[in-house]
Amino acid sequence: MGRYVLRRLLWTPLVLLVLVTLTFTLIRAAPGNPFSRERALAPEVEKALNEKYGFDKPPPVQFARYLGGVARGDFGPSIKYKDRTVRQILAGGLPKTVLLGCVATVLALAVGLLAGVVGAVRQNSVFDYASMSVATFGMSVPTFVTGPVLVLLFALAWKLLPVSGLDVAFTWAPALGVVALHAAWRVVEFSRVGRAGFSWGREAACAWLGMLAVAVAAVTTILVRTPALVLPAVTLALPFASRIARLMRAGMLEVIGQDYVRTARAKGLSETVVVVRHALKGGILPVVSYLGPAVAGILTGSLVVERIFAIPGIGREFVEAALSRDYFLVLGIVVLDGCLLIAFNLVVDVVYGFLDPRIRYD
Amino acid sequence: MTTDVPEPAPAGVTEREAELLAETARGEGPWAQAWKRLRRHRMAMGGLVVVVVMGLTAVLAPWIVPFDPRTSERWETALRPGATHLDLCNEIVLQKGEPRPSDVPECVRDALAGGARHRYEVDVAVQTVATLRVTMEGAKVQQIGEGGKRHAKVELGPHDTLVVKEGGARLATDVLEAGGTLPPGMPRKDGRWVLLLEWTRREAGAVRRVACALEGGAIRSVTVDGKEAEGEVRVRAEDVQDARLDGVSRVHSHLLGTDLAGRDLLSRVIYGGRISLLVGLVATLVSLSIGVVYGAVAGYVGGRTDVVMMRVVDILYALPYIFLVIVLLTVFERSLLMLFVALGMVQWLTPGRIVRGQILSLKQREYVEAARTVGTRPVKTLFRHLIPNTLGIVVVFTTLTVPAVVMEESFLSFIGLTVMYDGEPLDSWGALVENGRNALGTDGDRWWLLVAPAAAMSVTLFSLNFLGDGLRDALDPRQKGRG
Amino acid sequence: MRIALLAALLLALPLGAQARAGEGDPAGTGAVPRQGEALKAFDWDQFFPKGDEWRKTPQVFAWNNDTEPETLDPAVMTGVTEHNIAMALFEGLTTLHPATMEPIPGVAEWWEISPDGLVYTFHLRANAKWSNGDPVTAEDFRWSWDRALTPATECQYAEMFFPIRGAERLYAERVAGKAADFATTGVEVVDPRTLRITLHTASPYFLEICAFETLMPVHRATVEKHGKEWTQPGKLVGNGPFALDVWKPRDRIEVVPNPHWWNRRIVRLERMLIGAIDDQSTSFNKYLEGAVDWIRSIGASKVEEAQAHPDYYVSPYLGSYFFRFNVTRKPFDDVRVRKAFTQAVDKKAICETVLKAGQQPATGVVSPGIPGYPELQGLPYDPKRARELLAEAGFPEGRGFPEVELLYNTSESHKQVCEQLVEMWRTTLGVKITLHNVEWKVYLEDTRKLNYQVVRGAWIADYRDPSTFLDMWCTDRGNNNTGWSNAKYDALLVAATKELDPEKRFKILAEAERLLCVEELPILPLYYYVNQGMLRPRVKGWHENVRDLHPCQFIWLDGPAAGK
Repeated sequence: MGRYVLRRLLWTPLVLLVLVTLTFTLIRAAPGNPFSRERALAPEVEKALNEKYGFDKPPPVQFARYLGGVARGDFGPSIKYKDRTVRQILAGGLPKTVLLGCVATVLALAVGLLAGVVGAVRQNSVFDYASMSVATFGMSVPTFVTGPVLVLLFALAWKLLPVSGLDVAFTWAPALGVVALHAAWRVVEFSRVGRAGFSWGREAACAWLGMLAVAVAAVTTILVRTPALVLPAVTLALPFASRIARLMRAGMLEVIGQDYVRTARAKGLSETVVVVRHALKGGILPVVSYLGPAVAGILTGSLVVERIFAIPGIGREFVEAALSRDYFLVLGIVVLDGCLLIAFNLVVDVVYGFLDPRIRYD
Repeated sequence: MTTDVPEPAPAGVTEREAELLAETARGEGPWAQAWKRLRRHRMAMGGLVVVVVMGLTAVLAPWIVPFDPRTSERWETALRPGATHLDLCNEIVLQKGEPRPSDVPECVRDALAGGARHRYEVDVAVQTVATLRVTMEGAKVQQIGEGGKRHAKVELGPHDTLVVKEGGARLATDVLEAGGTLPPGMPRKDGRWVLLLEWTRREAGAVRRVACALEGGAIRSVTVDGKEAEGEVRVRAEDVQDARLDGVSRVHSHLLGTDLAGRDLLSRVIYGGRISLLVGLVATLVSLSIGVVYGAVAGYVGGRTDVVMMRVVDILYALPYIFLVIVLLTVFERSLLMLFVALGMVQWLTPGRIVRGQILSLKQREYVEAARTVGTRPVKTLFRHLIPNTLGIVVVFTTLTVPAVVMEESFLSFIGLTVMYDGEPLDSWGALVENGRNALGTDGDRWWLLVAPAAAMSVTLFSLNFLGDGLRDALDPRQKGRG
Repeated sequence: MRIALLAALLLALPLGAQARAGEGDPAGTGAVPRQGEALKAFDWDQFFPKGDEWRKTPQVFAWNNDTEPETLDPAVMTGVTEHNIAMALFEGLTTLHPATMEPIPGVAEWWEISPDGLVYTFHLRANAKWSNGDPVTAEDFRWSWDRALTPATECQYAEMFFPIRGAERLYAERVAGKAADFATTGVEVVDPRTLRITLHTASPYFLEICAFETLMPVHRATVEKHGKEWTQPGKLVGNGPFALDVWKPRDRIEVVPNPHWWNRRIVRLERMLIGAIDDQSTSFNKYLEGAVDWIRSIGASKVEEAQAHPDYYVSPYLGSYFFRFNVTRKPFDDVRVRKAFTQAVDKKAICETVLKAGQQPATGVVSPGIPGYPELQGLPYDPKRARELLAEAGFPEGRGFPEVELLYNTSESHKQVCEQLVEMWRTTLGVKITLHNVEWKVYLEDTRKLNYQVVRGAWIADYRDPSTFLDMWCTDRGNNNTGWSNAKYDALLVAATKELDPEKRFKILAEAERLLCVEELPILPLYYYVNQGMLRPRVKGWHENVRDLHPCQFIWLDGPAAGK
């Protein structure tokens, strides 16, 4: 496992290089130039600007220069926002996008997993139909419909939540509290079963639960302290929660039919134990696979949400940068998003292997 | 897909599988069996019906739309669902002889084409209509505006009327003066508020009746108030009070109302479905074929090939897809084909990954090992035994992908990258929904502009999803009825 | 012509602004002397009514500026968005009257103009100070303008300096890489408090240009010390009524009164929050929520709803919307075809169906609202005549008409306008025109390279003078973009620059406009812009005006916040 991760990490720079090359070529192939506006620019002025940004050099030289800069941590200037560098823009926007993305992911996971598991266990029950209908509906309505409708209801009609705005307030206390509770629970458990009953496997399983609980506690804190984040987070989470619920249900149904679950059941284990100990681990696999693209989706989906709720994240920056041909900003955001996605996909693969021992990493 | 079902597992045959074997033994093909099972699934059949209906509507759109989705009638903007209007053109030109086909109402054109004798009549009252915006504070008129213009005073002549726009009540006032007190008959409220008034100024003179006789594919005569007209007679559609063909009033109704530009919403939703479904279907087929083959090969071959192939996927994953689409749509022509390529290129990654994951775990199954030991060719194993077994997950994924593509297209509409269709920017469902959300009033007004396209889109995607669920159960019957 | 930003984004309609009657209306507008020491006695109190009632209201004014400013460096700015912020942070030699947009004293306390209209002598205030307490001197202006005319500064509005003698030549030389001394231009520092500027032609609008963002001074020591970063909060030193306090990109800018400003006593606001919300629905919702007191624009689809709200305002704006014909290609090389296409368009219908905010149908290109300049009565809507013209040009009933494409940049409202246009051409002329939408940058490139047949265009005035709309159509001007060239037209515009009598000058310009929009028609004028937005009645000292510029030193609040 360790070697696998190491090898993947060694691959990363190459992946990024390909990514940057591709992006660089594509954006430079796009018609239009970063300096054009409604008022015509004198050809001499355009020449001066091209020289200033180094666009007069042959593309390979520009590319090499850019890579050199990136290696030193310099992402170049923004052509559109003349007072700021790409690095400053990214540093300003990323925390907001990441915060929104994390909150939405945790919400989507918490709601989606629960609904999926219950739906699978109680297949064809009223809850199953209801939750799957809601999930199907959630996937069928675009974010830019849910967002405004939620604003209309909760912000304008009932005045419960603000239309937009994002000055985050947060405290670690509840999350730390949950950590403490979890530790206490394990200690009590250990003192009960003694050294002989201790198993790292069970601790790991409990740790997953604990982490989810911590995440939920932290997100709850953020949402309670920052009401402005509730609507965007819910809007963004809805389609992902729906997909997770559907995948979880499908995955669980698949696993429940398999031999080892049948065996577990045949051993006379209670339904809850069968579900939690055996079925859950296998059934979650499709969801884990989906998390990689889901994060990509949340990154781009945040574009819509950031626009509707006026959140100053990088998603909002991106399309505008591409449309206004802000080459350096486009490249900067692509590199950043690329790093995030690569890192996340690696985590997902490791977790996948962890959950499904049938996969050999060789 | 091959016609034979995967070999049953050699051991542990359950009752259900025995039943399956029996079905096979009775000589029914697996598709026939699947169809039988699907028919038992009520939700899925409902979904199938909806999908088929939507698909047929989309295909037949040009023949079944009640109105041309592009024609806008300025006096009919944002009509409520079910509203009616007179069948007219912006301007009607009537003249003895052959009429210009585009300048007469459709019913006249149809009547002319019939060739028999018809009589077409319109009642005209020349008038101008303006919306006055009257701001009031307490019992005082603060300001009277008409578009960008300000009025200090509005005096009503003998042929003018002022009508409260929403309620339709007529005001008992003949002078409205900025700075003055509220004239009698005007509603009163506390604080600042606005009253929108429809100001109709009719030119002096009674309602005139324009009549024309149609015969043999041409207008035989045109009369105004009974007198023969010389030259052409022009009638502005908004002045028409009533229009009749052979004594029958020409009233059409808009089932879903009209949009902000006065275009029939039903027709636009039907055309929108045509585009959205086409995009969804083609892009999904493209991406699934690539994804399944790619993922299966990577998973089955494994080793170095797998690593390289998955790294390629990683790289493409890491490229924020929207960027790819934007660049493709700008570097090349903004065409439907480009959209297929752009969306298809992006969408095959996830099925590719999932199929690979599935193959990786299937590879370890006994029957694959068995096939390998008896020396079946790898390609055959892959296409005979492995890919068919991933069908369940592929079907589930198709049901996720078609909606996803339709949604992605609507996302592109949201950021303004609408697609050209046959040289015209026709609105897809996504674009209609986006227009609807912008048009949606804060008090929920003009809801139909959002609800109609959103409902059409959601119901279709919803049905696709249910159909997918049903198909999954039908095609992978060993899971049916478990849990 | 600062349309760039606006149109570039997905926003469609023009920004809003104009005069709301009520308290704080300047008494006797138009009483500003054109020059002379009389300006010293300018009555600043006219902008405020008597009374202390307003002191009960917390003076925190929040409004939405529609988008993130590209820069806070006045020399680099190009848009209305930036201009509104620049007027808070910096002050030019003159500044603009909040209601009439006439130039009134700014850093210059008074000025003299030579009889030939060529030499302007500005006398700077002794108490004009930067926000760090340094005095503002004539040398500051000279240095700032020298800097703006250095290509590396990226000043895209360098044209604003070109009325100054030698400025255009200097800039061209510098761009060509030659070292050119700023002393060769008509800018002369007589003493620290006197600046003498010599123009190369009499430009009656020069005083207005002096209030323009590009000509605002920047603080030399700050710029030299911090380089590109000098506009960050804590670093920026300005000479305007407000000082930068917070800048959260894409969220908001906050400014507080500048304690060193020479006219500090008239500033009543304690803080101003300038939002950067670019989604027009969100902006509208923020207004309804009560979080902002002024929004500068209304999305096309929200207009009807906004009109039913008491706080909605709409007023004329100096901008016009038109379509360019490519006169170098068939079929629009024939003036009869251009006329036919123009007269076949029912502009009033488009204004009423699509735009709906009271935009006025245009038959000329100079937007009304320039004092003393008459609105052109051009070609009317006449479908019959249009058909005749098209038949004369050899396409009776549209038969044999070549394939034509109408180009526009992606935006919902442009799309609706173009759809209507195509529909009208189809029904009236019988010609089939296809629509082609491209995104902003491609649109600009295609327009510039004449890679189109008919294309959408727009122009927003830089100052209140017809020449801002008319200069661009001269042969080979950078913004002509139609391939049209007419010697008589060029001669008329040259004649106008030499005419000192304003009345005669306007006559010459009106003749040029007639030539352009009645006889030659390289463009199809469609409508004149309006400003529209929402303004809370408690905002005082804010005036609707034709340029949508709102000097915020004159604004204050009186009354409780909405929704509280």
